[in-house]
Parts: sequence; structure tokens; C-alpha cells
Amino acid sequence: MNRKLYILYFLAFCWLLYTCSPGKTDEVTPAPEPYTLDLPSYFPKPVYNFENNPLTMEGIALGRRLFYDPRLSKDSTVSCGFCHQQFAAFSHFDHPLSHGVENRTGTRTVPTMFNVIWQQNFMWDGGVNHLDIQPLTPFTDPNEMGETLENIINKVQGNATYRKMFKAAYGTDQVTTERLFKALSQFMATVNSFTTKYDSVINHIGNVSFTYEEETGYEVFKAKCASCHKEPLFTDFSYRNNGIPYNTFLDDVGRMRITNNTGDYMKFKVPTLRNIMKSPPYMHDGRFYDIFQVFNHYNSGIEQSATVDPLVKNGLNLSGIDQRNLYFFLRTLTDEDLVNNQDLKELIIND
Amino acid sequence: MKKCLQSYATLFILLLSVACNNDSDTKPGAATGTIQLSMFHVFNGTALRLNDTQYQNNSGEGLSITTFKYYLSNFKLKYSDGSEERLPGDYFLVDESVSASKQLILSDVKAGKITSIAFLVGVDSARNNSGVQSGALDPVHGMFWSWNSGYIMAKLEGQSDAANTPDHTFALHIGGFQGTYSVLHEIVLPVNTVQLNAQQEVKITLSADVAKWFDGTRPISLQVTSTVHVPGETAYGVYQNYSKMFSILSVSE
Repeated sequence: MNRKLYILYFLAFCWLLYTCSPGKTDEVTPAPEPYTLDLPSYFPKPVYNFENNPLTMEGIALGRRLFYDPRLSKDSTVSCGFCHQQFAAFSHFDHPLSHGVENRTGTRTVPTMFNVIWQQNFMWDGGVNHLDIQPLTPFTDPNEMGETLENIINKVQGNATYRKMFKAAYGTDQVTTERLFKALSQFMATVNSFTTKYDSVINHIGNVSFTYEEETGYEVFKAKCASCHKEPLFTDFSYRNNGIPYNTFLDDVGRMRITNNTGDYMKFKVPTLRNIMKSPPYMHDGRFYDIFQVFNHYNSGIEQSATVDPLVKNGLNLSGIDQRNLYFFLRTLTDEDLVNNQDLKELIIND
Repeated sequence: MKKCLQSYATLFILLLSVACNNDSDTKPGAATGTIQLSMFHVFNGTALRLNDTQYQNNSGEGLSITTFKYYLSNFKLKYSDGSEERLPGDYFLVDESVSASKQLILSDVKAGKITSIAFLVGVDSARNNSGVQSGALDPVHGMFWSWNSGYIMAKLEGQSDAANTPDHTFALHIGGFQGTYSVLHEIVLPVNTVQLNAQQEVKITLSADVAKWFDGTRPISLQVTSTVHVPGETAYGVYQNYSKMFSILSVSE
């Protein structure tokens, strides 16, 4: 037999053996397992383009670990989850202004963080234009995590668990800004809220109905709140001046800083009302601790200025009964699945 | 034994894949060459030195330069037959302190008689809206605004006694990709007809004169303008100035 042919046969035989032998994968990284989000049909199409960052179990797991890792901050005290607490619908419970490293304090309240895949722009002033670039702000802001990207990448690259997780998610253990940020996006993309009493009632799920107060409150909401807090996301993602008086100490003029346009003076992003009862305090600077203070503001606290929104300019004229019913309706927007979801729970990281 | 089998098998697969991929790399019928662009930084005609050299701007202010960085992208070549060739995939971050960054390779350039070379100083609007990216566009390079998304297209930092800031530092961070004050406008440099042949390389040396940042449509005095950190009218003025900083020093076929 021709020697060359013999070798070829032998190699082919080896190939057969190799492909048939069990347990051969000890050095091969299996491809990450795709993850499909189950999204409600009555929501709009997500803004986020998953084609550029397909969700995988491994990517989401990596993102979750990064989200809860305080070592990504300058002094290892502040993680993303430090300010975005699950039990507070991923806002910072009871804190009017955001907290950061070295006892620093920011100038705005921590917004809730869910349903982000439907958001085009981020931050109270909409200054950040993509979910995948959003982590740059809290990472590097001296009042938040105060760390440089370079240091963060080095810390993550230096950790054996992360190297394993990067390999599982991306095929190699190389840590880059893009991989890191996209893993965070993957985790954040799974933080969604659409299982509330409101959703059940609207979609006739499980024979649930509003109480009389809730039903009446819903009517008040539709008449006086819904044009800005648009269903089903309970925000239209616009920037508006809701008449909140300017705070001289914080000197925050809102979206005007981003657009350089005086027409945007004191305009802030309309926040969602989903999980509103889980996420006090309220307003961009957390000045109201109680939802009834918010009702009072819309009744009689509007500060008149050239940019104040016409919809609230003359007050909302909410009667005592209106306020009470509205309160009961807003309670139906609480998503217990979100605040108790074990897959989103804080991880204790000790390696 | 298993290890041994595995390595044989791997070899086999490797041989197979080499055999299969043999001719997939070459583009059929494309006559292309390479342009090597060398960036040469000067201040009023003399070679730029960071940190320890004193310069004077047109407002008579003494200054030294500590950082000089800018993006080049969206190269476009024009040919004597009137045709144009866009090279949309190339993004370069030129940094005076990194000598390798001043040698730009434009590959797969259509062969022909080149009459002009055009580019953006900065990163096009699409990439400013695309979230996190890698390579030259990685935000780790400190050329991306975190609070108001968008690339810093060009950055000049230094010290000047004229600057009314702590430590007399000045920082001109120029960007803005939308609206009236967008700093994204094509810069066109005519070339004295250069022949690029297939499989060949042409070397073009571009000079960038930092002094132009202070001089031009909108003269910049560091006493008045020592810090630019936002897109807008002032940034646009500085852009108008530096848009005139490039010139072709030499071309060698």
C-alpha cells in the first residue's frame, strides 16, 4: 500500500475516533448558549439592536457579576448595584442624591433601571445616546465609581474567574471595553418590568380586576398624567420642564446642558411610573419623599418659566379624592416579579 | 493515547482547512495598492516637541504643549479620471506621544492617478451613535465624552501663563457631530498627481501645524479661551482654525 495513502487512512481513522469519543471537550470552549427574551406583545419593539450584541446565558451571567462587583470602582466600595438596588426597582432607596466613592455625592437622584432596551437615550438629561456606552458615565464620574477605564480593564483581566467567564461568553479571555460594556448591556437587557396588576388587568390575565379606587384612579391618570407618562411604558421618553423650582445649590438646568439651547432650560426626562411605589424619593433631585408631595407639586407647586410644560402650567387640580384614587392606581404598577427575581439578585463576590 | 489521537486529529483538521481556504483571500481582479501616510507635527513650521518647548501663539502668549491627539477617518481619494474612492472602514487615532500612531496605512486603495486626498478630522456621526466600540474607537483612549455622548475629535492640552486656570493649564477638547456646530466637514488636500500602481506603495507625508489652532477665522487667546469641553460655537471656531492645519509635505511613488 502506498505510504502516503496509509497515513491519510490513519488520520481519517483518528478523526473518526476523535469525533466519536465521549468527554473530549476538556480543552474546547463550547459556544455560548443563546438566550431569548420573552417580551410582551403590547409593548413597542425594543430600541436596542440585539443583532449587535446577541444575548447568551454566559454573557448575561458575566454582565450580572460585573454589575454587582464593587471592585470596578476606585476604592472597591461602589458597584452598579450599590445605587441600583433590586428591592427599589433598581433605584437607590431613600437617597435623594446619588452616592459615590469617598463619600462623594452627585447632583441627581438615581433613576430606576429597568426596561432599558426601550430607551434611546439615558440619564436625566438624555446625554448618553446608547445603552452600550452608558456604563462609561458611572464608571468614570468622580462622584460615582471614580475609576479609569484602563484600571477597570486591568482589574477584570487580572481575575481568574472573570477570565473564565469572558472565555465562556466570547471565546477568548481577552477583556476589552467593548466586551465588558456589552456584557453589562446583556444583563441590563434582562431587567424588565411588565408583570404588574395593571398588566394583568389590561391583558385580562387570570381574572384580575381593578378595585373601585384603582379603576377611578386609572381614569384620573388617563385624564391628567398619561400624555407624558404614556402607556404601556408609562413614559414618552420626552424631556419636559414640569415646573419643579430651580435649586440654586445644585445649579442643574437639565437638558439645556446637553443641547446648549435655552429652550431646554429645566427640562428633564419624563421618568416611568412603573414601580413608582418602590422607588422614592422622586424628581430628578429626589426632593420629594412621598408621592402625595408629588401630587401637591402638580397642584400648586409649579414654578412659572418660559419653558414650563403647557400641560402642567396651570396645575393639575387633583382633588383629595383624585389623589387618593391615583395613589391606589399607582400601586398597581408595582412589579413583585422584578424586585424578587432570583436571576437579577445581588451576587456576593469574594474572589 | 487520547492526547496523541487528539493532536493527530487536530493536524488533520488543520490540513483540511488549509486546503479548503487556499484561495479565498485574494480579491478577483482588484488592482489595488497601499498608501502610507506619515503625519508630521509642527508648530509654526518647526518640529513639535511636547512638554519642554515654549511656543508663542498669534496673540503673543507663551505656551507649551503636553497632549496633541486627533482622529482621522473617512478617507476619500479622487483620481484624474474623475472617479472617487472611499475608504470608510479606516479610523485612526493620531497621538503626538505615540510615534507608531503617526504612520497610517491605507490599504486596498484603487490604483490610478490620485489628484486629491480628503478626510474627516474626527469620527463620523454614525459611529458617534453606535455605542461602545473597539480599536482606535475604544473609549479607553480618553477621546469620548461620557456625560454627553460623542467622540472628542481633536484634543490639544498644554500650559500657558496666560491661561486663567489652576496650574495655568489649557485644554481644548473639540467635538460635536450634530447641528449647526458640527465639526465634521471634509478636509480636501489636492495632490500634485501621484501614480499609485497595483501592488505598490506610495508614501505621503502630511504636516499638521499646531499653531493654526490659535490662528485663523476665530483667533484663540488662551487668556480668554483656555478650556473647551463641550460641543458648540467655541468648539466650532477652534475647528475652523485647525481645519487649515494640514498640508502635504512630500509624496514619493
